[in-house]
Amino acid sequence: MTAPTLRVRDLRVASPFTELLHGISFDIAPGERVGLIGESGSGKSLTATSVMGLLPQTLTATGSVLVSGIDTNLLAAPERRLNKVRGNTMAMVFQEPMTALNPLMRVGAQVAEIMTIHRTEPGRRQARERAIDLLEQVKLPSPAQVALAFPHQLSGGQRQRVLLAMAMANNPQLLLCDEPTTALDVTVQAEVLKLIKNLVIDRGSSLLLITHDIAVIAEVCQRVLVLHQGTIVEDGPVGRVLTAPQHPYTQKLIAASNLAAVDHRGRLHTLALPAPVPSSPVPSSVVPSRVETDAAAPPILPPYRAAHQSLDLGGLPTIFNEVAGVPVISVRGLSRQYRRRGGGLFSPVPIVHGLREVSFDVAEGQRFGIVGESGSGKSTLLRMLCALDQPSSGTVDVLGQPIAGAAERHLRDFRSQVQIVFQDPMGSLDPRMKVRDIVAEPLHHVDRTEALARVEAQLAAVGLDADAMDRHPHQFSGGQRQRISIARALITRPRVLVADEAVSALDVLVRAQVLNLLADLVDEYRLTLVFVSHDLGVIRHLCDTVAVVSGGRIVECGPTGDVYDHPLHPYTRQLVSATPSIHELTGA
Amino acid sequence: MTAIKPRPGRVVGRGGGATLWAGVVLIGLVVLAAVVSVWWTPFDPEGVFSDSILLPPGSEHLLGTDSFGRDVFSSLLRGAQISLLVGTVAVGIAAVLGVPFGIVAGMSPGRLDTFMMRSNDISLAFPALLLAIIFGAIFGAGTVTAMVALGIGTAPAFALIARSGTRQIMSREYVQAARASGKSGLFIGARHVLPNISGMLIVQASVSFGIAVLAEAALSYLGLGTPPPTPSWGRMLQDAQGYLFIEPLLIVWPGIAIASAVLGFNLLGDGLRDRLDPRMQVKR
Amino acid sequence: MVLVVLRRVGVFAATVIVASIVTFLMLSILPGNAARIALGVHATEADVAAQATAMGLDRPAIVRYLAWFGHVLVGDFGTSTVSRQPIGPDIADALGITVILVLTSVVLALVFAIPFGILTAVRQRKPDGAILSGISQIGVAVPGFLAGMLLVTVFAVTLRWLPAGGWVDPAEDFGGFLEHLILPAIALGSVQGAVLSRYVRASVLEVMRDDFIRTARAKGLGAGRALFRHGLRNAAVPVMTVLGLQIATLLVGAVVIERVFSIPGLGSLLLDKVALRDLPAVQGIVLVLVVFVLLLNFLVDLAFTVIDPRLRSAA
Repeated sequence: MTAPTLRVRDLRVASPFTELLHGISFDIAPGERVGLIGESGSGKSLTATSVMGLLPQTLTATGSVLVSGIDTNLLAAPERRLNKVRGNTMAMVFQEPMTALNPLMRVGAQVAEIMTIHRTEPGRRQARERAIDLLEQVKLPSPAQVALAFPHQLSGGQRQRVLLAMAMANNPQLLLCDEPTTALDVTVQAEVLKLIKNLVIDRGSSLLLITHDIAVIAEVCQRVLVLHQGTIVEDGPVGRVLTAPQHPYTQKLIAASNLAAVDHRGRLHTLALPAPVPSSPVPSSVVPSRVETDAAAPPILPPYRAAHQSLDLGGLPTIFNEVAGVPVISVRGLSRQYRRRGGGLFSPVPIVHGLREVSFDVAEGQRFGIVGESGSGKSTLLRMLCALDQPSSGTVDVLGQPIAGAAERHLRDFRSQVQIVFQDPMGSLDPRMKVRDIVAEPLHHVDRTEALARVEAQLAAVGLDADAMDRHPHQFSGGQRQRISIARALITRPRVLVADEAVSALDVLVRAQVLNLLADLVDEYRLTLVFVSHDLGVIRHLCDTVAVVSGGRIVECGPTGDVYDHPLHPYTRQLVSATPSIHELTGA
Repeated sequence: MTAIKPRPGRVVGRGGGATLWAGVVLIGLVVLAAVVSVWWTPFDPEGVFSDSILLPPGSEHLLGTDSFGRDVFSSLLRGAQISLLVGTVAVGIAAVLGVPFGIVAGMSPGRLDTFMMRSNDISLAFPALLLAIIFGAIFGAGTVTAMVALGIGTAPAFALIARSGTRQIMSREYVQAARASGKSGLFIGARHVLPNISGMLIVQASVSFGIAVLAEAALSYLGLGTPPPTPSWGRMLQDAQGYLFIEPLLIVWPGIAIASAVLGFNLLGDGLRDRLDPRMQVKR
Repeated sequence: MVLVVLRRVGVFAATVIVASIVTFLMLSILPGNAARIALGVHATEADVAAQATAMGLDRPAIVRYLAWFGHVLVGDFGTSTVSRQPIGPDIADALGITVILVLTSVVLALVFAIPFGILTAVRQRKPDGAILSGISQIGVAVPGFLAGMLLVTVFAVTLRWLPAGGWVDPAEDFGGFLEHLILPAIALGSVQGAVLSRYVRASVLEVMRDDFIRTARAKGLGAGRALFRHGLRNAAVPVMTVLGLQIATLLVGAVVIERVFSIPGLGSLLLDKVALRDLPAVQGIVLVLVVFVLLLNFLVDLAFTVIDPRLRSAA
C-alpha cells in the first residue's frame, strides 16, 4: 500500500478561549477524492486552513499534518518551508471568487505568478504562455483574451475557473477546495464541479472538498468525512454514508437534506434527534424545536392546478397559471428597465432589462414558487409584487387592487395583507430594536397593550417564548431570527406571504425546521405563499406550482412535479439537470 | 461558513479599551481645567502686570509669566474654556446641519442624492478654517463668528458620513421590511437609520471636535478668534512667538495644551470606533 | 478611457463654476452694501451712492457675477477697494509661492507617511509598532503652526542653521530659496504626513485581511511578499481618496504656516486683505484657493483612473 497523500493526526485548533477542533485524524490516498461536510461552525474550514498553514494568527494548531514527499510535520515547519509547499505540492481554492483575486492585476499575470514563484517555468514569458494553456484547460472561452482581463470583467464562475487554473498550475498532489461553488449559480456550479473532478482525475491529484451541501459531495467525491462540532463523527464511502449512515448526527443530517423524503403530513424529518443549540445564548427552553400543530386545520381549498406552459417567443404573450375568476395576484405585461449609471454626456444611457413582459396569476391558497438564478429578474419581480419598486410598464393587481404606481397612502390595506420574509437572518432584523418592537412594527393604529399581546401570541406561534420579547436580535441564532422574521410577517394576519430566499442562509437542520414551520403556518393561516428561491429542491418541497425565471422572463410555469420531471423549456431542462442530487444514491 | 462581518449599528466586542481610556483621561483634564477656572485661577489671567514680566517657572508662578506679566498657568486653565466652547458649538452646528442632510441624501433616489452629494463636494472645497477667515472678513472676527464658521465648514464631513452610513442601512432587509409594512420615510429615518448610524456619528463628532480645537487655536493665532483679553491657547502662541529668542518655553505650554486636547479627542474617536464600529473609516 | 476623462473634465468645469458662484454670493452679496464697507461707517449716503455707481453695484447681481467671473477667466481680478491697484498681479505672484510650498509639503508628507504607515501596520502587534503608532497619533494632534514655531526655535534660534522666516525667489538665489523653503515645508508636510500615515496604516491593515492576500499566501508567497506584491497597490486606493480630501486641509494649513514664517504667499495676502476688509481682493484670493483645491482633487481622481482598472471601464 502506498503512503497517503495527506495524513492528519490528532489535529487540534484552539483560540485563546476555547478548543475548536478536538483532535481529528484522517488520511487521503493518492488520487482519492474526499468530501468534508459539516454545518457552519463545525470547523471544516479550519481543517483546510490548518493543513495549508494559513490559520489566523490568533488560533494555534497542534497535532501533525504530513504530506507525502515532505518529511516534516507541516504544523511545525518554518514559514519558508511552508511557502515552498503551498501552491506547489498542495493548492487551495476558496469560497468567494469575487474577492479572491487581486482586483488591480490582470488574471493571466496572477496565474503566471504561481509558476514564477515556484520556478516551475523557466521564465516570465513561458509562465505567461502556460497560463493561457491553463485558462484553456479550465474551459474559459478565448483564454488569450481572458488572460488580459481584470477580475472585475469576469463573472463569478469565470473567476472560480481562473482560481482553479492557478491552483492546478504546478500539478499539486493535493487540492483543497473550501465551498468552491457555494457562491455560484446552480448551472455554473454543476460545470465547475465537473471541472474540478476532471482536473484532479487527469492529474492524479487528491482532493479534499469542503462543503455544507451533501449533494455536492455525492457528485464529486468517493469518500466523505462528517464533521460535527469539531469532531469527525463518520468516515466512509459516499454511497454507504448516504444510504446507511451510522452516526445519529449523520442520520439526522441526511434526513434533513433530503427534501424529497417527507412524513405523512408532507413535513421534513427533523424530530429524530434533539436540536443542537450549543452556542446559542438563549436558554434552550426558549426554543421548542417545532410548533405542535397536529390538530391543525383541515385542508383548505382544493389546490388549484396550474396548466403547464412554456414561453413562446414567437406567439402571443403567454399568461402563465391563468386563473378563472379573481386571482389573489394578477400580473400583466410587467416590465422594468434600469438605467445603468453613466452614459449621458456623449453616449446613450445603457438600459438594463430587469423584467420583460411578465404575465401570470396566483390563485387563492396556491403555493407559488419562483425559481431563477442570480440576475434572472426574480428579485425584481418580488419587489414589484410587494410594491417596493415601480414597474416601467404593466400592471400588478393584488386582491383586486391595482398596486403598480399606486400612492403609498392607498396601499395601507395592501401592506397589511401582503407581508415578506427575507433571506438574511442577520440583516432582516434591526439590531438596535427589541424583538417586541420588531414584531409589532407592521401594526398600525393598534394600542400598546393589544400590540404586546399580539406579539406574544405570534412569537408563541413560531415557537419562541415570551421572554424573547425584550431581547435584541444578536442574542438569537440564525434559525431563531428567521422565526422572528416570520412572526413579524404574520402579525397583521396577511393573506399573502412572500418569502425571499427565506431558508437559503440556514444550515440544513435548521432549514428543515423553518420549512416545516412555514408549511404549518401556511396551512394554519390559510396563506397564499409566493416563495422566491434559487434552490429547486426547496421549491419542489414547499410549492405546488413553480415559475422558472430567466433573462427577465418567465420561461416555464406549471405544477412543480410536472415542470421538474417533464421540463418543456431548454433552460428548465438545463437547470434541473444541473442541480446536484443525492436521489440516485439514496434511492429516494 | 458565511463570515460574519461587523456592520455599522452592531455593538461589537469591547475593543479599544486602553485607547479609549487614554482619550477620556486627557479630555477629562481639559474639562477639569475649564470648569475649575470658572471660579478659580492662581492669578488673574486677563490683566497687565508690569512687575512680573517674563518670569521663569518657579514656586510662585508655576509655569512662569508672559510678556504682559500674566501667569501662564492661569491663562492655560482659562484658555480651556474657549477651546471647549468653540468645539462644542461648532460640532453641534455641524451635526445639526450635516446629519439630516446626509440622511435625506442617503434615503433619496439616485438623481437627488447625486445632486445633494455634488453640492456637498463643492462645500468640501471650502475648508472650515478658510470659511472662518472669510467670515472674519465679512462679519468681523470674534468667538461667535469662529464657532458658526467652523460649524458650517465641518457640516459636509458629517453629511458625508451620515450619507454613506444611511446608504448601507437602507440596503438592509429590515428597512425593506419596514417599507413593506407601509412605514413612512420619516419613521424609517428616525427609527431605523439614525440609531444604526449613531455609532459612526459619535466617532465623527469626537474627531471633528479635535479638528475644531485645532482650528480655533489657528484662528486665535491669526488674530481672527476670540479677541483679547479673554485668554486662548492660540493667542498665547501668537504672543509667545515674539519672544522666541528670549523665552522659547512660552510656546511649549500652550502647545502641550492644544496637542493633549486634540490627542484626547482623536484617541477617544479611535477607541469608540473600535468599540462601536470597527469597519468605519472616517473621512474628513 | 478618453470618454471617462472627458466626463471628468466636464464635471470639473461645472464644479468650478458653482464654486465661483458660491464665492461671489458669500463675498459680494452676503456682506450687504460693498460701497459702504469700502468707505467705512462714517461716509455720507451721497458718497456711498456715488461709490456704489462707481463700483457698478447698481447693476443686477447676475450681471455683476458674470462680469466678475468673465474677467477672472482672462486673469483680471478687479481692483482693490483699498489700494486702488489691480488685484491680479498680486495674486499671481503669491500663488506661485504657495504652489511651491504646498507641493513640496505633499511630497514630503507622502515620503514620510507611506513607509511609516506600512511599518506601523505590519508591526501592529509588536511593541515597536505600538510606539510608532503612538508617535503618529501625537503628530496628528500637533498643529502645523506650532510645529513651525518649534522648528524655528530649534533650527533658527538655537542652532542658527536656517533662517527663521522670509522668502527668496528661486530665480535669484536657489540656495537661499531652499534654505527658506525647508522649515515651512517640513512643518506643513510632517503634520499632514502624520495624518496620512494613520490612513496608510488603516488601509494596509484592511488590505492584509482581504481574501486575495490569502490567495497570494496560498500560492506560496510569504506574508511580506504577498503584501508588497498584491497589497500595497490596493491599499493605495483609499489612501488616494483621503489625500484628495486632505488637500483642502493642507492648503489652509499653508495659510497659517505662511504667517508663521512671514512668507508672502496667498495665505499672507489673504490675511492682509481680510485685515483691511478688502472684499473684492478677498473674493479673488478665495476663488483661486478653492479652484486650486478642486484642481488637485480632479488630478487625484484622474490618478485613480490610472491605478484602478475598475474605474476605467465604468463609464
